Amino acid sequence: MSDFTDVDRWIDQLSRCEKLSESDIRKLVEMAREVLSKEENVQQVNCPVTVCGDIHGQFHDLQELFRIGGELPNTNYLFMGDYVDRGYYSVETVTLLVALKLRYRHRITILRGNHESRQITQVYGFYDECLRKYGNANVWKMFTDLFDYLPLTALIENQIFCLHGGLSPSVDTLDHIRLVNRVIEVPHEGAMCDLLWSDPDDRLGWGISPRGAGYTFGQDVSEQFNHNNGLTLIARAHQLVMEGYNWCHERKVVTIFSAPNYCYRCNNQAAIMEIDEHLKYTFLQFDPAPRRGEPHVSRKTPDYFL
Amino acid sequence: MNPEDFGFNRPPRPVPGQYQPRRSSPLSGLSSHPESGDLPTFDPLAPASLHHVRPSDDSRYDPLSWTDYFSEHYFLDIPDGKVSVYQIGQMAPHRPLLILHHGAGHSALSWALFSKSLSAQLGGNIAIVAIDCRNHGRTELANPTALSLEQLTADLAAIIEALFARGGLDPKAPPHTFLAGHSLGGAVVVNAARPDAKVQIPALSGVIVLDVVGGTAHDAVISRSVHRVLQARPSTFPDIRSAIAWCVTSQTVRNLESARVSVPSIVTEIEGRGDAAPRLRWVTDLFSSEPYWSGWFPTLSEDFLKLRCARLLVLAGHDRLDETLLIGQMQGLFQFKILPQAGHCVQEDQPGLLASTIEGFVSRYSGARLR
Repeated sequence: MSDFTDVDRWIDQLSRCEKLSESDIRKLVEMAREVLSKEENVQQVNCPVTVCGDIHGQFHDLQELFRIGGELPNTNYLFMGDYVDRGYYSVETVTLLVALKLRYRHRITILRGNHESRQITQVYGFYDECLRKYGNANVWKMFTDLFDYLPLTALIENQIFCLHGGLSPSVDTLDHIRLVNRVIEVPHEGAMCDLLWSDPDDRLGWGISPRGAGYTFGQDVSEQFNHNNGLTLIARAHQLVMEGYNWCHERKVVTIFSAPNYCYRCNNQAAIMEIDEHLKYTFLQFDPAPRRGEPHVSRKTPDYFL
Repeated sequence: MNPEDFGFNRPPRPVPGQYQPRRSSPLSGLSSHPESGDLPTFDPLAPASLHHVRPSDDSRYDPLSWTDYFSEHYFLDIPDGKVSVYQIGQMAPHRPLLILHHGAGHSALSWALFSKSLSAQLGGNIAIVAIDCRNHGRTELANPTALSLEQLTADLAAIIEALFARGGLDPKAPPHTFLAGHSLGGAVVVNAARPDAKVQIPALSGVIVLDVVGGTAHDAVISRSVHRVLQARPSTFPDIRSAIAWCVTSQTVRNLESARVSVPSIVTEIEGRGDAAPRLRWVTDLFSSEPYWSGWFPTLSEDFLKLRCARLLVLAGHDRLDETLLIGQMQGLFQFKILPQAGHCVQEDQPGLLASTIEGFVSRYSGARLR
């Protein structure tokens, strides 16, 4: 069927943390658009699968994640967004994940996070990194155009609902999500925005999100949504949790965060969630990969004052 | 050193502390900037050719009156003296109240363009009050240089109490109240809003902090980079046009219109000088507050996260959160906005963009959309 010569070469190159050429990125993105545009807003996923949270350009930690969770295609993966921004290797990270998607399209699912957006990446690093590494914004443009095609959510064996952020008051059932036209920039409000931005909260009901986008939702909301849709669990990312994973809403919701020592200075553990063929889950926690040649991170002293 | 030696008609000599304006030409060394119209940008490599126009002779640097931006100016009496206040929009129980605290060395008029823009965006349905803090602008208080965080916080609490009395507001049925502070002002409003503050602010709905991060600001103080920044500033100017010109060419303020409104309130006449001497100095001698600097920022980030009201942090330029705020931001504990186009004086550089952000914040936490 497909000829994977190019893709295998790209994956090999990327596994050494070497970026692809602009022309290779163009080919990669065109092929990936074909694949991603055929996926659903609620993408069906089978178990066993390993579910992962935010990566944020921490390429060496992504490699550590694959060492701990197992390499593709022996392990299936579901990534819940936020591949780019803040870390030093957003380009290599997102290129590798997209290349793996091309190579093993039925074994890896990559969802959209709130950072897979034109607006956010211009402020948090991916745009600047593309400029620095390619000398122009073409690669940023190609990737952010591709991000529009990423599926919004995934459903594991019709029981575990996975997405980046959380629930939306505009969405009662999974069928509501299936009706969304997702091939757009992440909007400032509405269902698609909420799915990528919302957070669970200790307070019941819906709340104003302190982030200024999306909502907070309480345990009653999660229970009702799981009941309406025959779900046992909502797995999501989006929030840094110091242990790498965190249960809430009486184990109706779990947060998974897969960027250890976030931004190279938050001292948090990372975690991934393995779901076996019987839908039993196990969390694997991990610490930052030992690395050489990465710049020592310290805050720049500002040139401003008072 | 004789200041007369450094007048404008002499060849420039690099003497620290005295501003020597380069001759700028309307045809060279100028570039435009979004939102600021024809902001002249200082370009030391531009040829001083064609038309030599000294800032002193350049009407583009003429001051502008606050009256185009605020509807009134008055003084509030507090125990230590009188505080200068600019306001737009009448206070009323049903109308949100936004109180603005500028940073060290600035003044209430740094908020002029922002206030006018926010008021317009909310259709006038907000009362905006900008204060000149202790030892700044037109405020006159006893012991003016006592710029400790505690003193500035006590001042703000007294100002709010006096404001409520003046506006006929009942502290038992207060309007949705918001505090915004720029730089040092950010540390003051956060300290005043602490759940364990001595004086609790009635109906505090939200706190907005502009371009200050506790960890990084404190580092700047203890690494003495603050001293270097301050020492690089001129200490006197021959006239107001030169002072305004310095603020924009040095990129201290990246918006000519705002500098024309705000700079006249941060410089003052030097008394008892001859005609040839520089006529203006800064209102605020920032070095006199040096003993207090190390107390301004050390707990700011932790205190910000402990606030019980809504929080918005706006940074200029790029992302430089300290660890505390980085974790807090990644846990979704506050709204975070970066304005890449702005310099440190966010509200002066990007008044319209900042007003849009704060319009959304105020509307969200005022119970209902205001528009």
